[in-house]
Amino acid sequence: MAGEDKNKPALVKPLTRWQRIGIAAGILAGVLLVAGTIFVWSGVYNISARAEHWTITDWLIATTRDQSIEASASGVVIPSDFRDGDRAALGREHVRSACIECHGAPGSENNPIYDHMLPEPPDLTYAADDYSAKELFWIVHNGMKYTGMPAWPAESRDDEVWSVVAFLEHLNQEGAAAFEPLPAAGQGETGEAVAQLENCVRCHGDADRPPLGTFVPVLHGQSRDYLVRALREYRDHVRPSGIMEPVAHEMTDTEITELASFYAELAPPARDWQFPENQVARGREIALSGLPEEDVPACMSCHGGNNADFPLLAGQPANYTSAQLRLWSEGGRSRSGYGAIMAEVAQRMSAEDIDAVSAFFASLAAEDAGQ
Amino acid sequence: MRFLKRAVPAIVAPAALAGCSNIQSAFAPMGVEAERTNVLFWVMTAGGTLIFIAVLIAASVSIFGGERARKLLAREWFVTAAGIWFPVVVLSTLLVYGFIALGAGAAPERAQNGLKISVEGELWWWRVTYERPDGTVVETANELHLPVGEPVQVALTSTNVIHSFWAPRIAGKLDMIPGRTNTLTLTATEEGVSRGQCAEYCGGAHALMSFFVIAQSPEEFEAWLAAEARPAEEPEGEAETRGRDLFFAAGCGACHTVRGTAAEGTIGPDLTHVGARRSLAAATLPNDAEAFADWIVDNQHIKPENKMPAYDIFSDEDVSDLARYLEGLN
Repeated sequence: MAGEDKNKPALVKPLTRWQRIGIAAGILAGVLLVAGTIFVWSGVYNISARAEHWTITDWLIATTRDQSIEASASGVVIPSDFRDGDRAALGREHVRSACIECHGAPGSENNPIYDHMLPEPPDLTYAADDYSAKELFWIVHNGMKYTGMPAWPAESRDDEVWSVVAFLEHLNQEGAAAFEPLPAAGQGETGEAVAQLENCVRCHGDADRPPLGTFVPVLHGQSRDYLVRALREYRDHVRPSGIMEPVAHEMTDTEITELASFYAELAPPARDWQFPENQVARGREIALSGLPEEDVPACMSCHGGNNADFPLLAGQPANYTSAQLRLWSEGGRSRSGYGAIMAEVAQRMSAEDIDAVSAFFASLAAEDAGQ
Repeated sequence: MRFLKRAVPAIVAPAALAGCSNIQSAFAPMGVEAERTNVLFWVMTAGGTLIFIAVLIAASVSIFGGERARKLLAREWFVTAAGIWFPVVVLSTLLVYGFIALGAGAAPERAQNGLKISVEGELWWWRVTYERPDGTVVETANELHLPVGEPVQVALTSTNVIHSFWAPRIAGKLDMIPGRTNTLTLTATEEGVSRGQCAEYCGGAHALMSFFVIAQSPEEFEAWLAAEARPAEEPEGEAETRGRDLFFAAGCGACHTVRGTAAEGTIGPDLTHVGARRSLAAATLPNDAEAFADWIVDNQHIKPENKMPAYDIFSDEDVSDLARYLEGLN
């Protein structure tokens, strides 16, 4: 075209620098795309868990993972009391029954199956060195893609996840000793073994031992029908718990009935929890008369013992009761018919009233044991 | 969605009825105050219409009239008389008439029979309490009984949000304001049932906050109040007895009172004689066993966010027995 015009020089206009860079980049991208396609389709990358990652792959994965954890965990709010009391004991028993299967326990030989995973599940002793409490919470709560680490089965149960985090910190300080004491095997009162009981006894105790700490409910002397309902709700994923759902998953109807009967017939253990007098008095008022001005009905009108479908509350540890009431008020336990009713009531209660009523029912443990 | 089939007619029917049967019409007064309001309305409407016509005539004459007529209109004495003196006289007269008609400033008539009635606005229903001269207190809900011919003072209160009590066939509306007591004097002039409703937006279910007014002869009223004051009767049938046992076992008494039993809750409506009322859920549902059953299970759909949790814990048989028991409380 330029050649036809005699008045202008017959020259091709030179490309600018940016145009040349653009063309070069386009060619490079094309080459990389073709090379990448050949790489993926040829199957040359060894996906075997026996072969370690290349150093560059390892670096890429680890950096992506840690950056993702740090960014995601920045919004986690640490409950002020998660290191308090015996919360870590509950975490310990969950770690013992669920986590060490893959991660192994310090000082004991791991199952060779899990030693051959890639990535190999890390030794939990050092988890708290590598990650902050926020990050540990996020990892236990959400799990991790491509690693075999599952998300916490009950999304609403932050409280349970914090018990695991509390234990991981404890483990980091104490090492193998953190797994003491080893639980005894479960025995019925007559000495005959009840199926699945061993798993229950580690946390809930038996005729000779009280439950483990104040974040675990007392099942001794509880209504049998209620215990059956609770286990079925856990098994059917109606009542959320990352700890109890997996345990109940293993149970048959017969086992559920047997276990419920076992605990229903036990005498409540002797406990002597002390609370401020005015807190107990406020709790007693709520339990017996309710708070009509706040539209809170009296606890005892349902939980007074004349309906086997409602649990007995006297003697339950305060930390357990208040954690459940908080769970209800945050909407985390309203999928069952009974749960939906309780959620409505818990939402009308202030944090102080939840603590007061929990303290009142816990304070009854001493009376119960004396009977 | 069974309840919808029943709830919709119950909601729609009164609205439709209002058009043809005047059950909630301020133009069909059954009370002294509503009559005054009605007369005032017609006097104002007729007077306003006459003045409007006169203004239209004057305007037409000033535009299209002959020169003589227009000159007459332009005279100063006419402008002064029609523009200043006429409005001053008419408006002052109407104002004084309005004050007299509505009894503004005058002490409300004293109830002759010593009866004290209070109505409390709840979310979303009406708690109605009768205090008899002998001091006995009778609580019911969503229904106001009045003796014909006797002025009755009704104390209007609320502990939650602002409601407005309006029984159009008996009297004008009056707000129920948290923290204060407004007193409304009601005098029914003829026997019959009419309907009222909340006239101040009070939340999601505001439109489902209605009630019935039952104007009765003083003898009938006394008989009704005496019956209402009695404790609940024990159920007789097998299903009803099972229903009663369920009522207590399921903790219903934590929020509801059934006088004469252990149920002494004050959060929800008194159910001592609930079966004898004209409606359920503040004139939202008919009063029968099926409606009770719907309400127990589905109340959060019928009246969203009301304070009663949905009871999804009963078998069909349980619900039916409970409903039979409640229907039998009359």
